[in-house]
Amino acid sequence: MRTLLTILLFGLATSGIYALMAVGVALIYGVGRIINFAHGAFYTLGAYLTYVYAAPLRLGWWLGAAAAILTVAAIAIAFERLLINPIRDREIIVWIMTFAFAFAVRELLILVFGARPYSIPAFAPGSVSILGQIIALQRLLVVVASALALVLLWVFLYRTRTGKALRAVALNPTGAYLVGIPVSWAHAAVMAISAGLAALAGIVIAPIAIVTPDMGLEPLLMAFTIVIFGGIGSLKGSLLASLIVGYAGALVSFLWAPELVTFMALVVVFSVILVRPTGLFGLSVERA
Amino acid sequence: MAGSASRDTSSPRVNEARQYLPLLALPVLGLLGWFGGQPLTITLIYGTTWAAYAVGYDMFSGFSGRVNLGYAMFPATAAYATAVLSARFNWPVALSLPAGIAAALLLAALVGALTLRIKGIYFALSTSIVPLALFQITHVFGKFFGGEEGIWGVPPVFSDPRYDLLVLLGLLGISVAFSLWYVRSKAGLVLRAIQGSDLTAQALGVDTFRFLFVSLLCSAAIGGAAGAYLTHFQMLVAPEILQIVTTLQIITFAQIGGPGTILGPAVGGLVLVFLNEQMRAWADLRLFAYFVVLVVLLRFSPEGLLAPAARGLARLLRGGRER
Repeated sequence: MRTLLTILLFGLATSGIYALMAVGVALIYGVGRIINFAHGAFYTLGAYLTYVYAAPLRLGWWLGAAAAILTVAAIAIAFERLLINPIRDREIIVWIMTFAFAFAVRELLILVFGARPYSIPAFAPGSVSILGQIIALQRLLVVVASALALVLLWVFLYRTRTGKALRAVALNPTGAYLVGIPVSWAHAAVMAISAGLAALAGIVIAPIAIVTPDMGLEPLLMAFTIVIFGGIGSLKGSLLASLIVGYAGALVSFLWAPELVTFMALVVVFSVILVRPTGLFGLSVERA
Repeated sequence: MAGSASRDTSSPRVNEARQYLPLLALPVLGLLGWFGGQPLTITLIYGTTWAAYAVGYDMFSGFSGRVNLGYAMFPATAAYATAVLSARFNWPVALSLPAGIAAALLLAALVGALTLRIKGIYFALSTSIVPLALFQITHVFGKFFGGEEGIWGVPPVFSDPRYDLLVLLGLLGISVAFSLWYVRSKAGLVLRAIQGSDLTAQALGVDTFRFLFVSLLCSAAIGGAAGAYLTHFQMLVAPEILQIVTTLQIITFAQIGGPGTILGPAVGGLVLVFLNEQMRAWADLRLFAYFVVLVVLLRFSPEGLLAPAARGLARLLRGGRER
């Protein structure tokens, strides 16, 4: 019973982090048709900037986290406007650009902070006992924060005019342009929103993980796994796949070995691409 | 273009021969490496190896339009195979090297059989996964593949690195010559047709899969040979070769050199490795500067710096004839 509860909660926390990352990757592809390999860099930057704002700049952890999310969103807008937009038509160059940007960020972090791991104190210190199982409050915070952010994103995309405009761009850029939606601006907006979500993921997980320049690699890989599994460009597919992959990962690491999680994920993705390249909910079924 | 018009009158055979002229630069590099001192020899060894990787990558991806985002799997597999056989089972290098290349070919056949029917982003992503999975395997079976440490104590072929350079330059020469011939042969024509449109090629009765498959095997053999040989020079293989950054480097060399030109990627590999070595004095700043330069280059000269030059050279060598 206690094991079951632990798997349930750990799986939910992992799924939440994966979902925050995957939704961003799916959005950027859906709206901007860009495969963003720099998404892990936004995650990592979120954690490091929180540390900078909170510790040397003494803003406090909560305010520091908020400032970090905004900064990452601003960096994402600059990245999209200055580096991606001018070369948007050249698919392969854009891939290399997102890679190169991610590695430039990584090297910058190593230069400034060194390769040594940092730790960030829990935003929600302490723990609670649920049915006799002791659970760190921070892990609950991960679940709550990611669920809240995803619900807000949902409301934004499906209930507001701006959100609907972004989805229109995903469906048909030319049509959106013709009815007066600033398509180019939509690309930047989506990059900012997605980067903010990635930063949030990096920030809430930081206290229960370690902060290193490479911390974004594993979630980036998992996000791609999920997005392919769920169908490239499909938000619903990404959310569903996040839960599946998150729980599968939690199960494998509890029952077997944590090292095998990535390997299993890779095998699953490889098989999905071969059998059904469009994933669970491919672009042909539904967009964004 | 009076000059080129007069060249057109020369026989096609002569024109075809001209494209191999840049290979004459290789003996020059050999001489430089032989007399230029140990640091230059070693820089050239790495430059030649990476140039061979870039050529191997380009002869498939530069012509078929399928980006092999996991190209490093070929040099890595060959490197691990030859390292395991020679260091763990004491095979002589003369046997372990071909076995390494065979291992890369086997992997290429397997991956090709599974992935060559898909294209675009799906092909790129599925190939990118293979080296990542292999990376995990080297760690899960850490006892055998050395895990994070890699495999040490791989026997060298020569004690003097200058001989290694000559071998690698020879390998690069063969790779470039073969690739130049290959992409102008019927197979290359089919590859380009496939890049234009798979469907059109198939409608014309071409078995696109077979051509892609053979091209992928050739591409794997080139990368495998260079990777396996470098392992003996370094006397070790480390799992970093399986990380995505290895393939990214190769694609960068090809992209900056001029994809789809064979010669361009070779020059790109040599020049960029040389530049990177010259920046060694910058220590920690080096990699950061490298990626910043790359970002700026991609932004302001997406076609690469060498590509226009390489195209001009290629046109000159082909005698001004348009493809």
